[in-house]
Parts: sequence; structure tokens; C-alpha cells
Amino acid sequence: MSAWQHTLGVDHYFIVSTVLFVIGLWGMMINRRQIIFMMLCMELSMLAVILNFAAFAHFKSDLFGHVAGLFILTVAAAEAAIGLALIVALFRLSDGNIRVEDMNTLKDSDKREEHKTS
Amino acid sequence: MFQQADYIALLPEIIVASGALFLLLKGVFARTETPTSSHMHAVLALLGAQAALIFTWQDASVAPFQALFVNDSFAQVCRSLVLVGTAIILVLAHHPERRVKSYDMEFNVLMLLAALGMMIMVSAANFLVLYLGMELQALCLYVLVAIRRARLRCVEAGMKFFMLGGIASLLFLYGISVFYGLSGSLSYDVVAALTSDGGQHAGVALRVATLLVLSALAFKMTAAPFHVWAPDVYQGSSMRVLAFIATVSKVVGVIVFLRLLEIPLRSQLAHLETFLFALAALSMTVGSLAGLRQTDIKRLLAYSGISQMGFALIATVAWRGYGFEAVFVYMLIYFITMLGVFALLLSLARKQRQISLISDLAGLSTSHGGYALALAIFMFSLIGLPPFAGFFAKLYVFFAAIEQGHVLLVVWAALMTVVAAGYYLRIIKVMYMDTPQEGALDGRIHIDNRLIVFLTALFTVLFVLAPRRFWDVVLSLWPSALN
Repeated sequence: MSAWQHTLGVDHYFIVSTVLFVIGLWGMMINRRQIIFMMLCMELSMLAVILNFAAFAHFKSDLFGHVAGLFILTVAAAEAAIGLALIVALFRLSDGNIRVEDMNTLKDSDKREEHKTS
Repeated sequence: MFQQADYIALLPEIIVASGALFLLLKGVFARTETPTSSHMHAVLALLGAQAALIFTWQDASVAPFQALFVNDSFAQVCRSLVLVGTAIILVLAHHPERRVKSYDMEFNVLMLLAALGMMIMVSAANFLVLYLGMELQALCLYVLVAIRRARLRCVEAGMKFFMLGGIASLLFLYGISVFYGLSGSLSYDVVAALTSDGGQHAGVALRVATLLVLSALAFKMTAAPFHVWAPDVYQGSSMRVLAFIATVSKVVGVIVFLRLLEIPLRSQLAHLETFLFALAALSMTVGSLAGLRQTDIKRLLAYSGISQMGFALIATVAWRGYGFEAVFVYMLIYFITMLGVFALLLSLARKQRQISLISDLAGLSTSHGGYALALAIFMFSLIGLPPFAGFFAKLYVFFAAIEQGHVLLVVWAALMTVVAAGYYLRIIKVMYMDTPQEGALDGRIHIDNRLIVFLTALFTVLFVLAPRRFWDVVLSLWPSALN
């Protein structure tokens, strides 16, 4: 037990946060349906970054990283508020389904013509 | 802890912020809000900030707020660029006679806050401050794009912008967290002292973090392959928001990119050459080829912006010489030309509706001969034909690259210029040779728009008289004199 405590260093935190960050990004890439899931993945990645800052700050005995974490948390809240507002606006305009694959009214002009003729 | 001088140095930012808050409060309490009054207040706040900037013009020795900001002359010029650019766009976008519900109060507040974010971005000397400025600007832009919330296209564009912008800011954040882990600080000077020699793993981490941060900025300035949001967002947003995104926001992205390469990432530049090369080559190729088939004018502007970005970035490969200065000059000329283009496009309407297709420009030469001539001048300048300003912009960039031996890239750029000339010339052809299908363009053009079109066209034409002096002024501003 005590040996384990001694070996838990900044590297381990870095690996965990990197894995969380990649899971979040990967989730945004592969998920083609729900916008809400995409926002959750975004939050996950952001929290991974905050973990990174907090861990680095702890191991360097430096306060700046904690402050940076607080700032990023605030920005994440503002971003989530705007994202949810956009989702509500999109929900009102659509037929009750907000899927990522339905967001296709904006297209290159040549593709739009193909769409019409088919 | 903080001196009075700190607050004086940030007086322009404080004026813009309090102007935005005042407008917000006024919007809550004043029941009978006329669009003109909120518009007047926003422009006054920007001009007041510009006046404060001129009166508090200081030398670079002061680094306000314990060096969280820089105050060199380059930052001052960039801040006034943001202020004046935003003010001009606010003036151009003001059409009180159009009977469209346009959320004017919210529009003005968000424009002011976005301008504030950009001013923080260009004068930041710390990655966290840069991040906060970037987010302030980006969050305002997401809302601005989707501001007409009853139109599906606007909201969809806003949503796409939000998602892709969110990914970009995540990459940036992760990059700076690695910088913090390696150096223990986020200030530009401390990060600049990092080198990739310090251990195998640290070197790799530093390089990955640098790439992540630069990718996020490449997103802001729509350089391929980070350009995918641009065509959709440009097409979905209204013309006045587009005028802001495609001019001020883009130039600010380039300025920050250049400052990061110049100061904190200077030691990395040798490793970044491939990245910059790919960014430039891909942007001009994608922008020039994909633009050829567009019929929507906003989409065409998006692709035109991507290819112009590629031409500008050629010079970053020549970082050993005068590359960055050439990029900055290129972007300044691009900025002024595009202001003229948007002053025209914002004022043209057919049956009270703003034009959206290239074919809507048909008949411009007969109904508004002077404007057709001005637009033709802007297009020639964007192609890079002598003797217009765009020619010199390309000349500086190409010379800087050739001087450092990147001849192949310049040859490819010249080829792509010819391809891109296809769509610029098509606009001229539509204006002068096609007959309009439905009615003439609306007659009256606002006096402000006329003035801006005239001035920018004059600049584009008369640049040939003093290209050397312009270049010298930019060189004297460059921040590399600092370190």
C-alpha cells in the first residue's frame, strides 16, 4: 500500500487525463446522432484538461494551475449554457428530433442540385 | 498589488466592456428601444476606446498586470485595428429602414463583447489570458451567427460553429496544459525558454502541445485542413455577421498565430516547417479548387478566404527572413479589400432582400456603374493583378518565400492564383455581361457605405504609389525588436 502511494506520480495523472481527453474527443467523432452526447463528450474533455492543470499544480506546489482550473470551469459553464440555448432553438425549429445527421440544410451548391434531382 | 498604470494601459478594454454592460442594462430598462440609439452607443463606445488608446499610447516598457498583457506598439496597432474594424462594420450594418426583425440591441452588445475578446487576444502575454479572450470572442460569435433564431439555417450554422469551435478550444486547452506541466507557467516568456532538447519524452510532449495550440488557431483563421466549418457557417450567417467573421475575426486569428510563432514558440519553428508548409499548400489548393463551383456568394467568400489564407501562410515557411512581416502586410491589405467588398454587399438589395447568389449581381454595371467598377477593382486586387494593392501583397509573400529557397511552393501558389482567378473573374463577368432575371437592384445606397467603398477602392488603387513606405511602417512595428 505504501509503495503504491510512493509511486503515484504526476505521470499517472497525466496518463489518466490524456485517456479521458481522448475518450471525449473520440466520442465527439464517432457519435453521429445525439447533439447532447456531443456536448457531454466536450465537457468530459474539458474536465480532463482541468485534472491535468490541478495535478501539475499539485506536484509543482504552484497555485497558478488551480486558478487556471477555476477559470476553465467558468468558461465551460458559459459554453454549456450557449450550447443548450442553441439546442433549444434548434429543437423548436425541427420536428422534435435533433440529430446531427439532420443538420444538412447548408451544402455546397453542386451537392444541393444533385439532391434535388435524385 | 496593481498600479494605476496597469489600469490606464487597459483603459480601451475597460471602456468597451462598460459600454457593453451599459447597453445591456439599457436594453433591460428602456422599453421603447430604437435601433438607432443602441447602435449609436456601441459606435461611441468603440470610438471612445480608440481615443483612449491614442491618448494613452505608451512605449513597450510597461507590461500591465504583472506581464499578463503586453503593451508594445504592435499590440497597440492591432487593438486599434480591432476597434476601427468593428466600428466600421457596425456602421455599415446599420439599416434602420429595412423592416426585418434583427435583434439590434443584442447584436450591438455581442459585437462589443466580441471586440473586447479580440483586443484581449492581441494584447495577451499569457496563454490563459489568450484562452479567455478567445472564448469571449468565440462564445459571442456563436450567438451572433445564430441570432436570427427563427431561421433554421442560422441556428444550424450556429450549432455547427459551436461544435467545431468547441473542439478547437479543447485542443488549445490541452496544449496549454502540457505547456504548464513542462514549464510551470503559462506566460509567453517562460514557454519560450522551453526547448525540445530536455529529455526524450518532454521533447515529444512539447511538440505535440505546440501542434495542438497552432491547430486551434488555424481553425480561427480558416486554414485547411481546419476550414470545414467556414463554408457552412458563412452561408448560414447573415451578411453583417459574416462581415465581422470574415474580416476582423480572421485577421485577429492570424495576428495571434504570428505572435505565438514569433515569441513563445520561436524555438520550435525548425520542427514546425512541415506543418506550416502543409497548412499553406492545402489551404490554397482547397480554397481555389472548391470555390470554382459555388453559386452562393457567401460560400464563395468562404472559399476565397481559405485560399487567400493559404497564400498568406506561404511566407510563414520563410520564418528565417521577413516571412511574418509579409504575412501581416498581406492580411492588412486583405482586410481593407474585404471591408470594401462587404460595404458593397451589405448595401445591395433586391426587393428589400439582401442578395445571396452570385447571379443576383447581374446588371450591377448598368444600375450602379461606380459600384461595379469598385467591385471589379477589389476582385482584381484579390486575384493579385498589378497595379492593385493585392499584387504587392502577393509580391511580398512570394519574395519572402523565394528568398528562403521555397521555390516549389511559390510556383504552386502561382498556379493556384490562376485557378482562383476563375471565380473572381466570374463575378466581374456576371456584373458586366449578364442580364438580370428579376428587376433591378434597389437604388439608394447609404452614404456611409459609399464612403467606405470609395476609401477602400482608393487605397487599393493608390497603394502602388507608396508600397515601400507601407512596408517600412510595418517593419518598425514588429515585436521581434523586443527580444
